[in-house]
Amino acid sequence: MNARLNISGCVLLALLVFPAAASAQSARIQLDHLNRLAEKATETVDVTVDSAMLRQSAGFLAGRGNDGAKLQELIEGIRGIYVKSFKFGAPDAYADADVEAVRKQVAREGWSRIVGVREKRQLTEVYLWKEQNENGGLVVIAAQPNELTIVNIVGRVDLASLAALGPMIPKLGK
Amino acid sequence: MNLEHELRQALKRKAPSKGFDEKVLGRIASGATVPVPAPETRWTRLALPVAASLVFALAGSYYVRQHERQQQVAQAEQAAREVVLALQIASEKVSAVQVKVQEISHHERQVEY
Repeated sequence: MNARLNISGCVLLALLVFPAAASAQSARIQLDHLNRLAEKATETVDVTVDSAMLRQSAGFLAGRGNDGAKLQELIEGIRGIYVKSFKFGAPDAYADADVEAVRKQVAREGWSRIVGVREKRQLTEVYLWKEQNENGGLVVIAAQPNELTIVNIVGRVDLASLAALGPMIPKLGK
Repeated sequence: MNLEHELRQALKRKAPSKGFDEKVLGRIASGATVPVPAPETRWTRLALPVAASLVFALAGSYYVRQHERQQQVAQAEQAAREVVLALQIASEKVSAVQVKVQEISHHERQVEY
């Protein structure tokens, strides 16, 4: 009993001392259940970028001209990027439960859906995590019969800048 | 025959130049000394291997540092590539949502009018 109280006390203390860390963890969602889809997929993109990698890349991107500077500016507030994207040779390679498991996590308090488009067998949703009245994370769910993509960004994300990144990225990727 | 003659000429006894004796005696009398090279000590014998080791150690540490720097650059490059890929996918999806939302709102406006 005492041990349990001590553990609870420690957790509470940690949450009080490190509120930013606690909220940063909240913006992170679990995507491990999707790993098994890689076996069925014809194309898989699995990216895990933590804050250390972001710091490493910041210096590299700084020397890539104006586009690199804009990208660096965008990633300044980001603490982690997690992407799982699968393309399948045939439809229905993944179950609705795979998507639902993600949606359940963003149904928690703190998350708000800003866009949701459901068409015939297609679902696209964008969720934002609020952190002290500021955008502190993002989840994009894009589900099509032959494709499933989940993007989870932890940290401050400017959606407009993110959407505007598209044309400049091919230059940076070279 | 010619060789023998040349050898004889070369090895022929020659008288010292004039005043040679006086020069030698004068030097001895003046007490002039010629520096004799110091005998090799333990340290002088070690100097070359120590210097060589130092050079090797410096070159080695320089190589290791360069290698580490190259690795750091490669890691940063790889991290940047991953970041760019992740943001590329995120950007694509957000843009696609924006287009869909614009299409829907445009369609709704048309229906209203």
